[in-house]
Parts: sequence; structure tokens; C-alpha cells
Amino acid sequence: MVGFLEWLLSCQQALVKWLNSFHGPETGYVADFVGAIPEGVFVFLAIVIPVLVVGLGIQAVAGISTFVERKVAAKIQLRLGPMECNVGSFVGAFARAFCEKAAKPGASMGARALALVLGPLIPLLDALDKIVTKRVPGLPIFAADGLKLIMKEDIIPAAADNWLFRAAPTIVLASAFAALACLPYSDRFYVADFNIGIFYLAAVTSLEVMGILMAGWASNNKWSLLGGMRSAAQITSYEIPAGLTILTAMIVSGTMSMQGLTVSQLGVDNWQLGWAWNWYAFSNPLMTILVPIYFLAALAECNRTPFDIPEAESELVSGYHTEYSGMRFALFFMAEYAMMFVTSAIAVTIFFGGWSTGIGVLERAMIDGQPTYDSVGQVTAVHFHWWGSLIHLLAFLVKTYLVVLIMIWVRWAVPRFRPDQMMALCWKRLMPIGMVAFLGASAWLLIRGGLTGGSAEKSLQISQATGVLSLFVFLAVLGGIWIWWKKPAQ
Amino acid sequence: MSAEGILFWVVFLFTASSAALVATTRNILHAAFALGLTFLGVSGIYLFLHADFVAAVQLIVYVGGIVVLIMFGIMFSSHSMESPGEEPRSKFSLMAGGLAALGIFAVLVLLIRALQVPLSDQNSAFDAIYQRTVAVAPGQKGLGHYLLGEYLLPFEVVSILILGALAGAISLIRKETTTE
Repeated sequence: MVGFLEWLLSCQQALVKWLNSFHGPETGYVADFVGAIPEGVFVFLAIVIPVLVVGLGIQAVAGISTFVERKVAAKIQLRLGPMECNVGSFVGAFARAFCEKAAKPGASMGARALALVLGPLIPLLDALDKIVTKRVPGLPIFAADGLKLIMKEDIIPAAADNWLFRAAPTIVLASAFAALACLPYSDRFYVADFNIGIFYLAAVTSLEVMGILMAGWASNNKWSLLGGMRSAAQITSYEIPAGLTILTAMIVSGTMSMQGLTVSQLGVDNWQLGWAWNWYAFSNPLMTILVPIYFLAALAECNRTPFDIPEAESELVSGYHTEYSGMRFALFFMAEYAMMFVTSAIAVTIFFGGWSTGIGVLERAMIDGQPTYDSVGQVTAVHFHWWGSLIHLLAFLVKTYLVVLIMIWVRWAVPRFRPDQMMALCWKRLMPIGMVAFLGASAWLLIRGGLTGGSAEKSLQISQATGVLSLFVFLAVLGGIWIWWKKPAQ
Repeated sequence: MSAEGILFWVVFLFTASSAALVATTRNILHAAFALGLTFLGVSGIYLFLHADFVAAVQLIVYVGGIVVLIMFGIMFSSHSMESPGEEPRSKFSLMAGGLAALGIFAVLVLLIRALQVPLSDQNSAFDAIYQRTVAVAPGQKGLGHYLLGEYLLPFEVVSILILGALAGAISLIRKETTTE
């Protein structure tokens, strides 16, 4: 994260100065101790803290996604979904019973100490219930499900390949989590910004195929093997349209880094800073065509319906994760939701502007200082206030979660494809469209180079012209949607 | 021992032990998966050589493509269903294998010393190429500049090779299914 290490070091200096300002011997010792902490500790913290925050955050997001999925499914199927679970029923009841027992005369010291800790929790849990669970009934079910899965017996079939069986969920989860290191959560709060950001994402999402094959084989189960092979074939096939989309985004923006992709959609150089029609999905017709293609490829990579032949519940029981129980199954499950989040985040970054809010006035109000330019005159970074960075973080998470919601919605609305239909879709329809878009983007790059002839003002004029054109197209599309919405039923 | 040094040893030990597993394990599918882990480790070693683009390409092509293909080949053939080979390893074969490995290792060490590749960043031949590429633009922009500029002919020859492989694969498959 940019500047996190410097910020930590400045915190250390500030703490030393504050402690020294008391001019006392005790605070002097503490100040010396704090000042003597080696820099390596702060380097370690600067690396570990963002990783932990993101890792724990995705677990919470994946957990709540399971709850959201069940509620969305219920809404589509005209029922209610999880309603019964509340915090008071499993933690609160346990705490109450424990405190009652510990209040009896024969209780041990340890029990009394634990009751001292649990006792004040009870009104807190009741408040949590009143505030959260009454409004969103059944929300704690994701935590209850997690606890249940941890407590389940870990069954490994006797004839299963021991090491491969244990290693498979780890690899699938590791590839999903490794992709989180690179996402542009905000302009200031991110884990790392690689030079090869998008390319690295394509690379680590291709690692999960190995884990799925491992799982299918190691279960020693013909149906698991079949599910695993189908899933591997599906994922490797759909990597091609996804990769072509990512390549087109690289060509259009001229950079692979995720922050660079987002900054190039801010439109700094053509006076349109921050407005939503600058996003590639709205301003570049090739990218507009690619939005549904990438969305379908993302659904296929996550093994989501309509591409969930590998997990087809009515056909293969559970495909390659049939034999997994308890926490191992939870790892596969979490990997699926983490992959949904990651692919949604990629879609948001390349099509919908990453962390930008889409409201130009707001963006312009949050700018702090001048943008940084590189040697060619292109903008590499725009600086915002710290509260602007927080708003950007919120915008990124909201946009990504909207795409995740669409993925969940599609699952419960559409029946699944046959394997041959799925393969035909990929190779005969999505890949040619992706190639045409890729060629079109390269051609536009050449044409634009020829038009500008290398001069900077001409390039600026072309950017402004295409910017105005994209504004009109955006308004026309909005107008078309409005007319279609309002037209009387025939 | 700097943090980078420790990391390098971790990655190296991971790669070397996976490679040893590939060669010594009796179960062929274990060998295939260990090969995948070896390629993962090699990708890490590429990162230490400042070749981040090549590391990502290694992951996509080798781990996500070649190892998956090897696994498909093993799983579809009948040999994977048999139990792993039961023949005992004779002392003679162990000694012969060990001598051969030592011999190749010695040859490699002598070759590298003869090329005088020093362990630091200031290497004359490779450093010149690296500096020249970085001078154009850092990272993969410089790579693209040279791939489509000075080294265009090898680039196109490689793409013709890949096209030939694609055509060959398709013709093989067509022969198998239309055998009338």
C-alpha cells in the first residue's frame, strides 16, 4: 500500500515525541523503547496488515454472500429464505446458561472468570439482535453455517488418494486468494499495484484448474472424476474469451496495472474528470460488446449456473466436491464466492471504472493537488484526500457487489447448459467476438496514431471528440432504455 | 541474511523438493502434480530475476496449460488405474542414477563458471540487455518494443510454429474420428 510504511514510521516518531513531551523518567523509558523498534518490524507490519485486512475481509464477504444468495434465491422462488437464526439463540443462550451455572455456589474459579467475560456480552448480543437481526432476519446464518462446518467430522474416503485429497481445496482457495492481492480497492488503500496487474490475475485464476483436477481424481469416484474433468475443460476453454477481453482492455488503456486502468478511465486528459460515461463500457463500443462476453466467461470460471455442470446437483451429486465434508467443503465453497468477487472486481475495473464514483463533481471536489504525469505526458496517478479515498473504497465495493448480485440472480433464473452447448458457446460464439474486438481495438490504435501523427494537442482533441461522442451515445442509450420502459404494453 | 535471501531459499527449496518428488515418486499422477508445483516454484524464481511478465506467462502456459494437459493424458489412459510399479529398486540402478546426476551437475557448474555469470546485478552481457530494455520503457513496454521491433522475425517464426502445431493437432483429431 502506498505510503503505509512511511505512515507507520511517522506514527512511531509522533509517539516518541508525545511520550518525550512529558519529561518524566517512566515515559522516557517507554519513548526510548518505542524509538528503538527496528525498521524491519514496521516493514513486516506494512506488508502483513493489508494482507490480513483483505484476507479477513474476503472471508466476511464470502460468508455474507452465502446469506445473500439464499435470500435472493428465496425472493425469486417466492419464499422467505433463512429467517430463524439470530445471535441470541446460539451465542446468547449459551452465555445465559453458562452464567447461570457459574453463579451457583459449586462453580470453579475458571468458570466464574469466563462468566465475568460472557456476562457483559449478553446485553450486547441482545442489542445486536434488535438492531441487525430484526431488520435482516436470519443474517447470522452464515456464521452458524461456518461453525457447523468446522465442527463436522472430517471424512476422508479410505480409497482416496490421501495427499492429493487434502491438497486440492488448498490450491483452489490459494489461487482465489492470491488474486485479491492485486485488486484496486481504492486509489490509496490497496495491497499492491503490480506492473502486470491484470495479467497476474489471469495467471492465478488459471491455477485453480490444477486443484479441481486434483479434487476430481483424488476422490476415487467416477462421478467426481467426470465432474472434475468437465470443470477443468470448461475453465480452460472460457479462459480464452476472458483473456481476450483483458487483452482488449490492455490495448485500450495502454497499461496492465489495475490502478493505471482505473486512472485512464477517469478521463483526466479530456476535461471529463470522473464522469461515468468515461468508463470503457460506455465510451468504447468494442468494450461495450465485450461486457456480456466477459460476464459469461466469469460465470463459467466460477462454475456458476448456467455453467455449473461440474456441480450439477441433479446429475453428479456435487461433482468434484462430492466426497468433501466439513471444513474442506467449506474451503471449496469459500473459493467459489471469492472467485465470484475477484472476477466481478476485474469486470468493474476494466469496464466500470474501478474505484471511481462516476460523479464528476464529487471526483473533482476530492482531488488534492496535481496529477502525476509520466514521460510521455500521460497521467499515471491522481491524488485525492484521505476521505476521498474512503469514498472510492466504498464505490469499488458497491460496484463489485452489484456485479456479484447479478451473478447470483442469474443462477436462480436460468437453467443450466449441456456440456456441448457450453463448449459451442465458448468456441463458436464468444471467442470470435472477442477476437474481432481485439483486432478492432488494435486497428483503432493504429488509426488514431495515424490521425494524430504524434502531436499531443491532436491527441487531446481526438480524446475530447471521442469523449463528447461517448456522452451522446450514453445519453442516447439512457433515453432508449427510458422509452422502452415507458412504452405502453401491446 | 536479508528478507529477500530468506524468501529465495524458501522458493528454491520448494522448487527443488517438488522436482525431486517428480523424479522419485511411484505414483504417476503424484508426479504430474508435483510437476505443477515445480513450475509454480520456477515462476517464483523468475520473479527474483526481475522478470515479472515471464513469471505470469509461466503460470498461464505451464501450470494452467501444460500440466493440465499432462493430467488429462494420464487420467484418460489406462495406466493410471494400475497400482504403482512394484519392481524393487536395485542398488545398481540407484548408484548409476546417482552418478549420472552428479555428472550432469558437475558439467552444469563448470559451464556456468566458464561463462562467468556473477551472482550480482552488475552482469556485463545480461545487464546490457536489461538496461537497454529498461531504457525504452520499464517492464513489459520495453519487452513489447523489442519483440515488435528488432526481434520481429523470431516472433513471427514462433507464431508460425504455433499455427503449425494447432493445424497438426486438429488434423490428428479429425483422422481419429472420421475413419470411414
